[in-house]
Amino acid sequence: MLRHTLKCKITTCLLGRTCLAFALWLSLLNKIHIRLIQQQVNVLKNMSLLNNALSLLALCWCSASFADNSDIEFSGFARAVGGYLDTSSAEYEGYDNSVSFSEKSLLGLQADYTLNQYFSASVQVLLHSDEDRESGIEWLYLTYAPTDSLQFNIGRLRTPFLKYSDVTDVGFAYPWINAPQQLYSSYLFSQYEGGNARYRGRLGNFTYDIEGYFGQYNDELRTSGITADVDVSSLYGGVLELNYGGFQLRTAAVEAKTVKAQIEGVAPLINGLQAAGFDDIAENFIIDDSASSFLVGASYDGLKWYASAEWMSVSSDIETLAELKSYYVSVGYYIDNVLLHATFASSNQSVNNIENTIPFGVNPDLDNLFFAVEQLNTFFPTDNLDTITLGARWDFKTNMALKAEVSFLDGEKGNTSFFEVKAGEEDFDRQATLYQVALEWVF
Amino acid sequence: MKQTLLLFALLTLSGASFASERVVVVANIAHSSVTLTKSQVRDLFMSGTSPELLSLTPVSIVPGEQSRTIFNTRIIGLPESRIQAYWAQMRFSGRLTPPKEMESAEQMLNYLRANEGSVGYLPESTQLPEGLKVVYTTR
Repeated sequence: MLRHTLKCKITTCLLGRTCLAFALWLSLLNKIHIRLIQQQVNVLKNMSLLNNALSLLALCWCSASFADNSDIEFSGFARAVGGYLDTSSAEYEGYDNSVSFSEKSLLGLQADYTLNQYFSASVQVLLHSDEDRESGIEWLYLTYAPTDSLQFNIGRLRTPFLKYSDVTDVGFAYPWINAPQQLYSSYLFSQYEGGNARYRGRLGNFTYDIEGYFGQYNDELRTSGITADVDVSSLYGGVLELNYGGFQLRTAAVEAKTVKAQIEGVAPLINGLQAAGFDDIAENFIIDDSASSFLVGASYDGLKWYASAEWMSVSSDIETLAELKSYYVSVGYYIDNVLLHATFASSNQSVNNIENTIPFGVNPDLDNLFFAVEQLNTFFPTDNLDTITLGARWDFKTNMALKAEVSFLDGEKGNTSFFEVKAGEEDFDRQATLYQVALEWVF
Repeated sequence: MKQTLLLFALLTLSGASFASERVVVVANIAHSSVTLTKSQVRDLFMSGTSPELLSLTPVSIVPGEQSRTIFNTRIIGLPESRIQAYWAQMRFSGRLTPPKEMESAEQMLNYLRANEGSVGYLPESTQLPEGLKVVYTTR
């Protein structure tokens, strides 16, 4: 009824259409579905696994009944991932030496509302069991597609950078259970609020994709045991992709101007340093700088096998975040519905220590400051890590896959190497093996 | 052992008969002179990009149908599982949605006839009604 009334008021001007799209988008998606999903999110957060499953079924059922009588299309993805790390000295990606299914398991629901030939709106909600991540709206955007090859999106979007970085939650989309962490956990800023433009075209036997985006980012980041509030007022970047049959070349860049970050618990130290006159040291802990990333990748996908590689560098003016360079090379072979794959990944982070110029032994207050700076120095990531990952993926249905994977982690003693080393285990040699199994599902 | 051999022979035979099947890529287009190259067909079905001056809509058939398997093997050059993974990535990153999927060759024919600019594929032996034109044949 609402839709009918609104449709009668269609004006031919673009602005009118945009407003209409927004109105419908908000009324339909916001009021009905998001509320429903958010209730589910709240419920889910407080319930056991069995109850979760029941409410998910209920949610799917609701979704299906909505889909019957509107232009909304629902789809989704889910993954159940179990893992075990063979060391008691550290955690890796949240895994330790007990079998855990809660680190990566998730459910995502997407609703796409098509208003007309040109406008559509989409929302993607993620329900998560990883304690380092929050459940909620992952994507929420309005699309304007004036032609088949040109598309504009505005809203909350995932940052496109690595080959799979805007679908890292959709395990069904890639071969691994864990995409190479050296790259996939380290690229800058997974999300932004803003807009993008995408163009897809053909040139002879090549197809190409160009994407540019601009936005801002505001979130809490957690890495190697440090929590930081990050605020990026302008984030921009682009992706260029060239395809020829099964061959693909990809390059991407992202630049974050004025990254402001507040590392949890560091404020008192900064005040202390400033009060004692060590402004130059304090300066290192006040993050108000810029950062950028660059990527090149190449891949081949064929009937029998694939090969892919990506190389990435992250650099910044942030004194405490040293330059990180990482890459992976992956190959896979298909035997009917089974894919066997092997991946080598490596990262190298240049050592970055803050020079501790505080005189030691003068007085207890200064000594405390000295130790605080020393301790903070050990916290900053030195993520040098080599991994070999062997895995199998079995697509037993067109929309379901079972995966199994073993990763041999080879870090460096004294470095973080993407591990969270437990207190008292500083001598841990940063060598471990991660075992994982997963069920991937799209619907 | 005998059973294994028999199974092997059956598999080889079915593979052989399967390999001799062809599909034709069929379009509902007014320009009777138009034909497409393999790469144009692939790009149309994988990224929705039409050749210059044409506006074509690809239509596919459900997984499991033999014509789809042949089409995947001969034209797309990817296993079904990789194609499914690709479409999951395109859908959940808001880029593209896969072509509409028909349940049978008959439904495909009806759809193609009713929709100008639509392009689908069918077994080579299919009798084509007037108005539909073969734009590519697999080798």
